[in-house]
Amino acid sequence: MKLDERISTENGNPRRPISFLKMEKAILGEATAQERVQLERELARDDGLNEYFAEMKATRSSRDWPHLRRLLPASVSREAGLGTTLAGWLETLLPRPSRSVMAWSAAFAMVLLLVLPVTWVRMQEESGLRSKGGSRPEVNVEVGGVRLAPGQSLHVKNGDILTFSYRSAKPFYSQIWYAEDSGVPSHFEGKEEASLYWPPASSWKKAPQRIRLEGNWKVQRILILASPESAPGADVGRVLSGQEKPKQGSYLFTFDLLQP
Amino acid sequence: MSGAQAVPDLEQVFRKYRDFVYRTCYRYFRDPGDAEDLAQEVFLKLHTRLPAFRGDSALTTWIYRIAANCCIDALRSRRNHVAYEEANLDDMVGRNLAGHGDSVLARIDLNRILAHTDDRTREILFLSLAEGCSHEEVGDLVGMSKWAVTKTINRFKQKMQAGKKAWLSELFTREVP
Repeated sequence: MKLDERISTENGNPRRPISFLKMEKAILGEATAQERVQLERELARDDGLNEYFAEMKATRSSRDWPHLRRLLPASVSREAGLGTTLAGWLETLLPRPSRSVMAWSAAFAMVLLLVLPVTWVRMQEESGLRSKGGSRPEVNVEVGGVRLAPGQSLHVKNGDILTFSYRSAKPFYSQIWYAEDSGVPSHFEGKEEASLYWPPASSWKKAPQRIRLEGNWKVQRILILASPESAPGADVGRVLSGQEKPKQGSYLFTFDLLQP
Repeated sequence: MSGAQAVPDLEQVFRKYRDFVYRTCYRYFRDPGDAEDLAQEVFLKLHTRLPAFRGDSALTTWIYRIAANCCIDALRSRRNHVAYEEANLDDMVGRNLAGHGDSVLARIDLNRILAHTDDRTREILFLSLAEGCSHEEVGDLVGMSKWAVTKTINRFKQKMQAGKKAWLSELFTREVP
């Protein structure tokens, strides 16, 4: 086909390829029904065009165009007459962040607002600045649903289960001993070397140890020695029997269990 | 301002047409970096021209025309330096003429048209030959009737065929197999 033929028959030529503009309009969803039909017809007829169109749809800018984003808000503010004000100058100098950045920042600020107070309270608790108890560990015992603070006593019976709860900013080792009717302190399980590791807990936490109360006695004193390091049973025994002073950082908790 | 066409918000325009403009630029340069640089130029032009947009044509075609002209201008300014763009233009023309088997137009070097035609003719030729627009589409884009577009192309064709000027022979640079 000659050039003049092409030009003169241009509009009626059924083989006229579809323009880039029509394909772009189709991608943007702005093509008319007629244009869509034409595009579909061409795509069905031409595999190469099909491939090209798919590639075209997949072609996107990978960059965020920071220069443009920076320039546009500044230009707008100057146009609005803000360039002469402090806010305008600031906006000109410091690019306005994109909406997505602002949204993320707002979400981050909300999370901080929620998390910070909780973290602050925990830090206060874990740094030993609690209003009660200080930085030393606290230990309670519980029998039959009744909680016993150190120095307190409680009537119990054979078969009751003794459990322990504690809270402490730092981990510590505990040795649980007993003394029946003012007798010599003994380790509960007979494993005098066994120091129990209790990890830090900012709120009251139940220790895994459970002890069933047995035997005939009138008063059973529970002795719990909390120390920052694991201690041999013999050393603990000497401390509990009053032969040695507890090491620095160690605390002794006593509870009295009474049987009728 | 009552009764006036609402000026589109640049941010919205950017969000909606960003890839569209990028693709248009990419077609001409086949280089992501060049295409992005040029696309930014297009949006800066849009920024200054948007307030003047009266809604006489669809926003898409209006933006498309600005983008295409930016590309043509960029080709003109770079034509002596960048060889690969020439090959890319050949591909574009080849694609648009593939269905015609046109041995005459398929040998036209658009890169040379850049140097030897006036702005309006250049734009029309590019939209028709490189972008594959019908005369009606070209008319819509440049604000001319289809008839006027055809006439402009005819005039160009007559000059080319008459071969009255030496430069016209340069438009035919390749042999078609």
